[in-house]
Amino acid sequence: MAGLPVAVVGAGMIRFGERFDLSYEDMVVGAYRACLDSVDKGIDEDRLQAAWLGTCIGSMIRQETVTGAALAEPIRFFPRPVTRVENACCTGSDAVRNAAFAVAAGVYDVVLVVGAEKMRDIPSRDSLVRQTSVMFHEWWAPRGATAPNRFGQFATAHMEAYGTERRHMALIAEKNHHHGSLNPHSYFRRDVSCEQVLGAPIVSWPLGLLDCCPTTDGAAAVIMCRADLAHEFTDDPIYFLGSGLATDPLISSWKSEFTSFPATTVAAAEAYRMAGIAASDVDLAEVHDCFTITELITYEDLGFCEKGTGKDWLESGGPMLGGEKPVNTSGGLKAKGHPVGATGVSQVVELWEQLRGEAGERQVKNARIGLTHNMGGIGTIVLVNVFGSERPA
Amino acid sequence: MNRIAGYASYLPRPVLTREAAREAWPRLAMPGNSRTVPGLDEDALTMAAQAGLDALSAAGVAGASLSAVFVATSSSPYVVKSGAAIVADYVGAGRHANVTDFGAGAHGGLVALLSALRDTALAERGPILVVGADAVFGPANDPSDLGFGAGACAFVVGADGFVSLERFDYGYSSYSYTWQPVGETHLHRYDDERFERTAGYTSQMAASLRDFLEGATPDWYALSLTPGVRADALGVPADRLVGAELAAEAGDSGCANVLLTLAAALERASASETIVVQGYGSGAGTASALLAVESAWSPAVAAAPRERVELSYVQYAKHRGLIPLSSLPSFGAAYGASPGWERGKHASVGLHAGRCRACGSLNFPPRVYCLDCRGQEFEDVALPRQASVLTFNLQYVVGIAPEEAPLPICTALVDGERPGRYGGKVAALVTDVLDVSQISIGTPVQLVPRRADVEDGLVNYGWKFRPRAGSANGQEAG
Repeated sequence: MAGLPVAVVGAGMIRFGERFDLSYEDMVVGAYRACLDSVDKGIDEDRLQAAWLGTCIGSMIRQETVTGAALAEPIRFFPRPVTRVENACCTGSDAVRNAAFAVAAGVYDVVLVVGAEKMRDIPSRDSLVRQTSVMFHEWWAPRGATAPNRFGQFATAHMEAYGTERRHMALIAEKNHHHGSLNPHSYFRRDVSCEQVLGAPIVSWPLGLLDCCPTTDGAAAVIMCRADLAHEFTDDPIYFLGSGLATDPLISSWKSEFTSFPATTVAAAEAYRMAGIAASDVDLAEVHDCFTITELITYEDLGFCEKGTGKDWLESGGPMLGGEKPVNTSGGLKAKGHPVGATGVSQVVELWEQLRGEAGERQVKNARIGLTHNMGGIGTIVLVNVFGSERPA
Repeated sequence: MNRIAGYASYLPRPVLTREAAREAWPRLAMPGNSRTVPGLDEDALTMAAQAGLDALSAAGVAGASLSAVFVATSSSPYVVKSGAAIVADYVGAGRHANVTDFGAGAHGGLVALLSALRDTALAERGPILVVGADAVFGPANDPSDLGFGAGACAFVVGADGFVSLERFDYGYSSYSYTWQPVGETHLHRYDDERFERTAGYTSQMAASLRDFLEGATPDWYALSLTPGVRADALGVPADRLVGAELAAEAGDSGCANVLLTLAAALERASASETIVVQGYGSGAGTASALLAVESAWSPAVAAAPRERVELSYVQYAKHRGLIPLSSLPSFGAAYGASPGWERGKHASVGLHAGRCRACGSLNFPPRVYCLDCRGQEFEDVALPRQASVLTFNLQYVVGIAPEEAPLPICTALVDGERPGRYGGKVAALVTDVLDVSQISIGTPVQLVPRRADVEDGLVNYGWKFRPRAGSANGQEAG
């Protein structure tokens, strides 16, 4: 990667879920404290020179404008700079990316990233089901299309083209719920069987309720610094190796294809190039399983298997714990939860634990390189960040 | 029995005077001099909360120590949802407080007070807060409206206090002179005042008082009073009747009425004097109590002097909701009247598309840069209405249309267009589908004009697909 090497020296989060007990500000403070506690040698908070706050739908759900002050106020960070980032479901990842770039550019030495989303202070049917102008459609405006509608059409097309079945998508839900059962930060900490997933009520055929990630409250935080300063905070940092961000049209009738997300392929290629790796070097990945079909298509788009063979790679155990490249060891969006602005930051928390060998029962053996993948809209914005346990040359 | 340990009255600042009422209704006589009206940001529960907080201060009792909060009102903003619980929130009652609502009859304030005075088991756990509060209105063009009022009165009852309950009685009657149907905001009235005098307030109050006192003569009479009522009609000595002046200034404030009168009596009573309290509720009957003042009343805080703001009748009408107040538009409503709709309707309703002169890609809605080649020169063309399904889903959780689920939604390739490009497609709901298994990839469909949605009464007109006979290349079957 161009610029100065960047290290992650702390990462923490609150338990995701329906956090009726916590306000947005409570969650921000909780994640920030968890992150401070994760710094092995401790950190003087005055060392944090700037911060990035990822919150996606704050202005829609809270009916108020979210600014950097939403972080600066609760942790008494002012007058230091806070940039608020919003980029659909890539919000958290994009906050991490921009903070890392600021360090790599030599502008700041030590920076903070917080991702937070308060989605359950309104009824769940009022949040994403009744979307307002999020997924534009000329005849449904301003209400727009729903996410299950849009991803359901990709599932139908993939089933038709490659013989993928609902059963394969259910296997992904089963896997991620099992991983979530091992993660204390996870919203759902219980197993579900393939049969339960297939028997669940249909939301948007071919997607059933248990193919969908939950509406979630949560927050996560990461501290990054110049790699040559990392030893002041820990003897065991991880490193930010590269990042790719790509775009594609939002609305259904402007998509070029319905069996892959071209922006994922472009973003991954850019991130791999920047990190100096190939897909084969990736040991584990936290990917955007907003719906089970999204994860299956993403195996193919990230280059973990050939186009159209996602179901075969899955059945061979590739993404399972103990498999070739365990995917979503945290439980993913599906089980850990998807508080939009926090999701990408929380993926770094999982890699922080995995690449340091601290993930307990869900530890991936010899994990050295991991990636985070987020998708905003319907493959509209895709962001891939790559992390490693060894300092880049 | 328990004792009264403190009390406080609350009357809202706004009043409608006889003169202001006469400007609007020259032929309707206000029975008193003025009536009270809740402020624009007040209701029975905020008035109850203010009286309750003041009574707790006067008694030196902390809200957290309360064992119960009893609130009597017939003008709660809710049919289902406890008003007493909201008052309990305001005064900071503990989680185990008995929170109970009284009302339905205007004697409800006294019924609640008697329940508190008699419940010694409850008082062992802590003091009880009792509040009567109401904002009462009649039909705007009826003289009864000018005699009603608004206010609240609160009592703190506990094992210790300065006023005790000697005895009590009740007398029920289902006879109704006034009533308020569910969903309405004012009382109705049976328009025969002479029958009301025979069967209602005057006769029931006088008979219940006679039966209750059995010849005894209390020092003070604290009764539910309507403006202009005469002491002799109730069989009461005029110099011992309190509250007549209050009724003439404030009006009949429903469940607050008899408690406000009792508070006025306690201001005048000396140690060892007795007070008879009697409340009346139309359609309910009477409640009677004989109270003994054991010691002089010394409140912890002095009551603030009452402020008055005289309303014009137009202002009164706004307070009552007869004239709507200004309001902001709801978020995102009526998209069909918005600039976005106006800019886009040529394409979205008129079905105009752009055909790229460089690469031939069909861009719908029309664009500035071609989706496929970034070309900037387009031919304005009518969007062909025939297409075939490229992919689809069946929406079971529906947020986008009035139709019943499952609702097919598809992205379709316009007939004659090439797949695998960005352009050449249309996405829409599929309508007129009786059996969703009719829909599959490749199904021929045709755009038909249909309603998309209704917001604030304004219809969003758009297009939906319906299945058609024939093939994807546009050749009709048969």
